[in-house]
Amino acid sequence: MASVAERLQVSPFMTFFVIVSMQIGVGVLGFQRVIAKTAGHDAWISVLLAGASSHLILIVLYWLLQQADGDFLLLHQRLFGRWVGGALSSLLALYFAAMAFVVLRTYIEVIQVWMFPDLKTWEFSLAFLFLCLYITVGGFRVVVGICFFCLIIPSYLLFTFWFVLDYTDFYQLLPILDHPPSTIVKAAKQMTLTMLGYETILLFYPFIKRGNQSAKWAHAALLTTTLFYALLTVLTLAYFSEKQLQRQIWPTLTMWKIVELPFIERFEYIGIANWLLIILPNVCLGLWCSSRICKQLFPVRQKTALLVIAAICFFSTLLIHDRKEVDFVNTILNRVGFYFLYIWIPCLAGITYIVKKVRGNV
Amino acid sequence: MTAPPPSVWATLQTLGSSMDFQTKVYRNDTSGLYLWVSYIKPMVDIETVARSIFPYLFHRPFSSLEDIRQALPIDDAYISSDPNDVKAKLLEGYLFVRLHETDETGLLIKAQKTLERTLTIPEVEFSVVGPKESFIESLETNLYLLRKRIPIDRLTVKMTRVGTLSKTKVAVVYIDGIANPDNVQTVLQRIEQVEFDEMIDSSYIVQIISDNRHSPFPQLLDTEHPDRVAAVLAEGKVAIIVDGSPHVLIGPTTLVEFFSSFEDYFLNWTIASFFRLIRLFSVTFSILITPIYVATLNYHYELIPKDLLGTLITSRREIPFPPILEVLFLELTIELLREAGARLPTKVGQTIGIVGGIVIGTASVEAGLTSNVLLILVALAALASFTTPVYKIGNTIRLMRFPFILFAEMWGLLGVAFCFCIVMTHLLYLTSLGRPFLAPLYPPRWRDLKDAFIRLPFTSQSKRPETLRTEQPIRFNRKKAKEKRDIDE
Amino acid sequence: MSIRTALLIGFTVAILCGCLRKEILDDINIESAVGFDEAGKEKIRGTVLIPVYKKGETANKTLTAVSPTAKDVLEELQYKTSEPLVNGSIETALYGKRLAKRGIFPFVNKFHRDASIGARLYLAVVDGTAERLLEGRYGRQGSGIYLSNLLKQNIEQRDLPKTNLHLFLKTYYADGKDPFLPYIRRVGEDVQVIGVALFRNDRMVDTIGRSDMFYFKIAADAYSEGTHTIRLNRQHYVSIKNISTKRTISFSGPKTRPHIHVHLALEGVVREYKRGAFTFDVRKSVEKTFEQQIRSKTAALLRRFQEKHIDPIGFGDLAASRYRQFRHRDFYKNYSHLPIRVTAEVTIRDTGIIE
Repeated sequence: MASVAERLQVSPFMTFFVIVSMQIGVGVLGFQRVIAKTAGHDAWISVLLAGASSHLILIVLYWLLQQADGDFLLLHQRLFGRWVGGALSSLLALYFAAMAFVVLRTYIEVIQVWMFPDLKTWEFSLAFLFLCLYITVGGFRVVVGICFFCLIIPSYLLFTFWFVLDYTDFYQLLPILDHPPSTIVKAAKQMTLTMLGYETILLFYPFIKRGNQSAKWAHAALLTTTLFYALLTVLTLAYFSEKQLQRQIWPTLTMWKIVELPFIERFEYIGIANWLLIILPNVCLGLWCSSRICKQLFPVRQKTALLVIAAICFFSTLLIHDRKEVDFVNTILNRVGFYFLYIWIPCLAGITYIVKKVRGNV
Repeated sequence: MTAPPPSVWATLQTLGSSMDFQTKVYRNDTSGLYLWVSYIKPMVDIETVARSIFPYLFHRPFSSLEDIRQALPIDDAYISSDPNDVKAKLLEGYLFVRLHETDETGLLIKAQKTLERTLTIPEVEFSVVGPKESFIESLETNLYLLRKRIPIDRLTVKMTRVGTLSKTKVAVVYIDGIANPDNVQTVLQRIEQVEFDEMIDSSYIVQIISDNRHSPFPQLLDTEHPDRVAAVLAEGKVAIIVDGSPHVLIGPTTLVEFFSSFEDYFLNWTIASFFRLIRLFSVTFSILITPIYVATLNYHYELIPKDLLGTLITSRREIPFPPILEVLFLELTIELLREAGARLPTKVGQTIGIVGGIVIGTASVEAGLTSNVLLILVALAALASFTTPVYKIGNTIRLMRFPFILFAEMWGLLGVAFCFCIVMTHLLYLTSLGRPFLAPLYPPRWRDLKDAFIRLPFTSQSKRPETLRTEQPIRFNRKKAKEKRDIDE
Repeated sequence: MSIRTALLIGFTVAILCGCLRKEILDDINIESAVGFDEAGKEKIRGTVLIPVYKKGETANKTLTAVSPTAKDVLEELQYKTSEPLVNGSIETALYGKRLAKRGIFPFVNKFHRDASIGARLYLAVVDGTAERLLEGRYGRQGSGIYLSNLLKQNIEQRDLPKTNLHLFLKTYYADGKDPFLPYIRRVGEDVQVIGVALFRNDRMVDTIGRSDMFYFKIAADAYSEGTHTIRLNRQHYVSIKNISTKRTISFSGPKTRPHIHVHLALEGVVREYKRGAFTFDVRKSVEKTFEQQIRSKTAALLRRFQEKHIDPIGFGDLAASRYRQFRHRDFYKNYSHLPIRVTAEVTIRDTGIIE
């Protein structure tokens, strides 16, 4: 067991907040269009399918963690030796760092399109990364605290969808299963990209008290996000007509445009500003995971690693100039995440199983 | 510090350089022996001396100091030859009696003058219902007030002296068997380590032993209510009483505790919960309303409902300044009024408040310096910041507004959200005596929420707060406290 | 400590550099309504209405510009104002009749693309030119608010079916439904809703008059509040209020040529009846007459839609939700000849506070 002092650990049920806050990010603002393009008004079934598959992967992840006594990086090393294992782990570090950067850049893109067209990327990115550094330097406990509050506080946004109900036509969801199963599965595959984020469990597992008890909370988290996504998909499909939805880059934000309160004429501005809180745990946890891997692999202090990674993230955000490039990095990252979780993790499980059979222990 | 004087005689010589130090020679009527009596005049209660000490010194026979000590009706009298002790006691108001002028040994007799004000009603934390007595500047009296409320043997008092010059007595009070020993240890250790010369008040201690000394958030609660201290001691907290300060410190504390008035416990739980929510709302309102004004007027005109648009525009039409200057001008004016009101005597202060509020407010609107909508908002925000039951957190809230305003000016609502995140992170970092400051919100202690944003009835308060990790988590038997009655019984 | 210092420096730098373009409320011209008209071939006349807020009353200012394409009309106007024109608070967009016949999509899409425009923006077609309508002075709160309140009131409590920017786009992009918009006209110093303009894609092809609007609304949209007066015989009128309707559309037969059955159930309260007691028999006869009227008028409307080959009710979309593998093209090939049956059921719940 990777030894982590007890005062640094968090209770098992915090896993729920970490995973949910990690899963919900910029993807929520626009995933509906992609899956609706493939599966039409049956897209919500794809969401449920994707949710179910993520539960399966999570079970595998927990099995792997148990084989490795809670330290996933150790598993890589034991199976593939120091150099290959280390290389694989550093790829993982790169992945998490890229996640932080892509989320941040996409959010900046949203702000630039919806709120401040003249917001300078470097300016916001710098300030935001400083904030993230401030949080991450506090260690995992502070990061989890941010995950917790950044999920609890913006949860009031759910109520705003109540106003959307006035403009929904639920008959648009009928007839159910009108699309061939193959397209629904294909959309489910696209949906898995939005569900990414729970793989962080591989790294923060040692930081949970009585780690094996966290499994039920992790599953509860997946279930919550799945249901949330399914609900949002249903609402979106009922709110837009099919071709109209294809025109929206960020359907969730467009839906907010209809919300009108007696004292707020337009809600999407509040929503976007609030989304900062949703993005924050994504970036912080990405930075934390990445720097944690660096600390374990290389002889560096986590603080130093963190500074370097944040600096890399900062310069990467500057390299992306327009929507097309933002889309491009999103697609790449999502694909990597998909291959990691749905191809690499099952393979790893298979190898572990065989090695266990042959050697007797891993 | 100079090296300790080598002898009692030298000590007396040093003290003798002050005019109020006196040494007088008396002759005993019966035995004819001479007595040298030294004391510092202002510290000694002359009446006590004349009534209950001098008769025994001058009119009774004795052969040694020991004889006098036994004859005296005063307990606190002993023979000492330690120069440091003699000096300390003399400074506290003891008489020092010797048989010969150069004797190194003498009798110390307590004849301290105690002058303290009588118990008064609390002035800072006023409450309509509930006990009206408040702490005063005397440590003994304060301890008396506590002991009276908690008459059990496990109420433990640990004393130390702090300050190289002031030698202030500091008492750490807790209930043994309830309070977590870790917390007590932390407090004692931090007080031991205090390095300061003149310890005037408990607020010095707060600033020195706080976990984060730079944070604008107070990390120990101070109160002048003995009832409140007694109640939190029973919950398992630790109190710090400083001699000469009418404010007692309580720790570990949490952010929500600063927004709970002790009066909440004297009211029915529904009403108390309502008041707490009001307070919470007013704090949020007070911090956020002017930043939101700046953000909306600068960047987000789309948000304003169309019926309000006209009102806002007409009120802003004549104003030559951008919203940020307008807001800063008014906010600073209000702070000015508050500061002036606090410095002036009560009566004058009130007048200044009214004159300033009405005259300056109206005049600045008339002159077209500020808009009347903003005037209302700022006045309301100021009012809301005074609903906090603890004075110190009110100051924090007023200060918090300014970074929010700056961020709102920079990035509109996004800036407000950004600043919120910074404050949230700062609060996550904070601890009070090593315990998380944001508890019971984070780390979440669901059961402690019974006494956070709302206050549930006493029957559901049968457990002590989880965050304190008390040694005895149960307060009382919940089953006995609950009423079990059928219909018409 | 070093991190803290770095943070401070970082924030300071960010604050110092942070200068976004501000839109300070009183230093901008906030458009409250816009209008588009045809101005000769391939030219567009754009009009914006800017409220000028004063104490107690709001005056109006209109600006007009002509430009060859839809995109530049409003940008053209920037040259005519001392303070920047912003369009985030537009409540109403009007289209002249002639322009509406030519197609309004480019002018709607402009709003669709603009992040600062709300989805509740009202669109309407003007009988005449939008410019002339916007030049009028209506109401004390300014013409912009007057116009949006007028439409809002008519949608929420009268016979206008629900429309706004979002719904227009939703139906425009929908395969099985055609958009419609309110049809308004300036009458002296007032604006009146005179009907509903019906569109095929983005071109106005027909209008419904005010007398038919009630029947259109109950068929196209739900009715929740409002009053309708029916004529019993030559001089007897009954006003029915608090009408709530429920529309049921069912399909039977093959999916390319379904039989459509529209059932309208309506509940209401009698508000005004001038002749004597409102007995059980009277009630029955009122119900019957009303049912009869709904049947015939609605059927006539639907017939007209079929002839014009438009589908504002959304039969296509409804059918798509009933049949698997539905193809809109096949459905609309036969649309004009589909048998549509209309039935109605009126219940008068109450007779007000007197018998």
